[in-house]
Amino acid sequence: MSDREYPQHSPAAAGRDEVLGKALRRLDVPEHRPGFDAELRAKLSATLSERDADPQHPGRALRARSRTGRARHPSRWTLGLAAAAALALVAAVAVALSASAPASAAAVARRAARAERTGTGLPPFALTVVTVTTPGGFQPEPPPPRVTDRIDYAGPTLWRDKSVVTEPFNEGTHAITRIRNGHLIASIADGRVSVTRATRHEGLPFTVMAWQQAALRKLLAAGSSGRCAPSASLGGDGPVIDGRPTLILQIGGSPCPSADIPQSDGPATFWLDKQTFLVLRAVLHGPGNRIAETIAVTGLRYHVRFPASTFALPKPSRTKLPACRAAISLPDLAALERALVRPPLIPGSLPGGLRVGRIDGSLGPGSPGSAHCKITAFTITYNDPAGRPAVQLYEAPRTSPAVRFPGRAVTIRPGLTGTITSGSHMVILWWIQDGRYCSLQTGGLTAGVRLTTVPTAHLIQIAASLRSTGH
Amino acid sequence: MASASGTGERFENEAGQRWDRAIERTQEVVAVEARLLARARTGDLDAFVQLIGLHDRALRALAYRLLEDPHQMDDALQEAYLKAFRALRGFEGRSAFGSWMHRIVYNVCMDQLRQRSSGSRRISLGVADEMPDPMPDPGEVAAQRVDLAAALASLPPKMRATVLMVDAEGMDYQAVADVLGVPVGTVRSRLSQARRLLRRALSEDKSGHERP
Repeated sequence: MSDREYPQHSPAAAGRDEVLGKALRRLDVPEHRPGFDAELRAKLSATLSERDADPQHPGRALRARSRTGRARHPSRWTLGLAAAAALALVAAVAVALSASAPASAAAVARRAARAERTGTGLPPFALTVVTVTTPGGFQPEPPPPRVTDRIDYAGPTLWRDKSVVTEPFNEGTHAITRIRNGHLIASIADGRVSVTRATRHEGLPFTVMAWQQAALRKLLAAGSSGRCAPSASLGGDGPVIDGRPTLILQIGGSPCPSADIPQSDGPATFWLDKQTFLVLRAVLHGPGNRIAETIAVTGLRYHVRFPASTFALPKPSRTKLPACRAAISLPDLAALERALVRPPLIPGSLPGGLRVGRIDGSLGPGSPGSAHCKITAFTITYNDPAGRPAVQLYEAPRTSPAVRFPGRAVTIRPGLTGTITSGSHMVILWWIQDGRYCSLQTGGLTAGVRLTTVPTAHLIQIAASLRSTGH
Repeated sequence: MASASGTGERFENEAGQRWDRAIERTQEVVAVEARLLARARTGDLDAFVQLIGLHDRALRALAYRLLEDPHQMDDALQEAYLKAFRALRGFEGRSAFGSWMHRIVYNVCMDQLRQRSSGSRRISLGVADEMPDPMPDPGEVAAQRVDLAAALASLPPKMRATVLMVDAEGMDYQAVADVLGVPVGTVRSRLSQARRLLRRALSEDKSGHERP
């Protein structure tokens, strides 16, 4: 269309445009998320490091990029970025990493995840690692707040891990020792010894240490290229930790947040051993950008020669413990009632056409299981009229450490108050009732199930109708 | 009491002084920007952060109104700022730095929108579950109906960007044409349509009519 078809505005029209402009300027614009500036600065620093680390062509990485000042040319952008990526690869190799070191942040994340999961590239070593998890995230089965692991590692099939675990409410500590010797793994807890055959997925102390799952998950996500891969950047050289030079790996928030392991949802910083890529220190942020988990290694020694007795398997205890299954799927509410230690609280009414879907029971956190293998915690998934999982009800003993996270107080019914938290496309309502911890969630991902969203009012309605079924 | 002509003169003088002050401020901003730009081009990270800080609000507004999600807005802006930092040495100053930044942010956002729309063609169950509830809360819909933001969101992204840059940011047609990579006539055309659609949407809201 030519300019002729658009005559000069009349004063009245110009006035209307001005009014519209003012209204548009008054529209809310969200502030940046917490940590945005730090993330950006880290990425910019990494870009600078890439450029500066290229000894042959300083500054070339920047010059090779597309000329963004001109009108957009996709091919130029593509070529520019490809050239930049290639130069970044060259530059990163030139950094003080070893000759075979991976170049990109994603590759470093993959390498670190491999070291944590399979022991790739790790010589025999001994270390102590302290994992501290702060309360604050939604998680049906949260890790204990503090675990100290002493690890003696001679190889993938020869290691010893002694964990001292702090109970969720500081009731005390207990120790679990696991020794792997060849195909067998001995577990020693509360004076009892059980010996089992190692499975394919039960190889390294790191993978056995469930409390470090968030860190491993974060590294794996950053090393992937999928839709849920968070951004990752190399933050340059870190401090010397335990005599080891470190490399800083910064990983952004997860594009696909999970309620299961919220410690892996926010941004995280890892300090990796520059040569072995072992995690020496990590700070993981959860919802609200609060620090959710810290990992700190001390007493690290490589190339340790262990006496053979270190990995000697103790004899198993003679008394047999009942074989309780930690988690079971139940066909209906009647079966759930039979399987529970005490009667459940069940909604008296379900709004919005919700129907009972899947029912899962488990030995609740901190509960070793009764003599009759009764379960203490359960999750009921309610499906919407289209059959999609929409709401989950979780109940556990009141003392369960699950979900004491801050939120907005809401009256469920007279005399019963809950806490509601929303964000990351999910809403969670939790409260304590009749000695039980209860929570309702809609939206997001929890216990491996992705939920669609129902109005918050429905959650409150369900909660208000909860009553004990009695045995 | 001052005479009519005296009042007129005083208004003219005050208007003139305001204009002079505005010009001075603008010149000051331009000078600051030029200094920061020169430092940023040498790899001064702090200068670059300050430089984008001068335009951050406008760029946030553009990215947010295009993507309609604060998380995606932040991701897009980080990507755009990184691209700008890497390409800074290639910035020839043919357009204002602000216009150049708008172009980068606009292109990153459009890429994201394209990815989003191409993704929706091959919907998997997992992705479909993440999409907004097809039956949103009626109360929420009613509240949005009288909202300029919702009316703006109903426009196609290219039209949205045009009206935001011209009417909200006060950019001239040529600068917007440079940002969008289209002729000035197209900017005028999009702007005219956008204004008409916005006014219609808002007047229908006020009169209580249903929007299609």
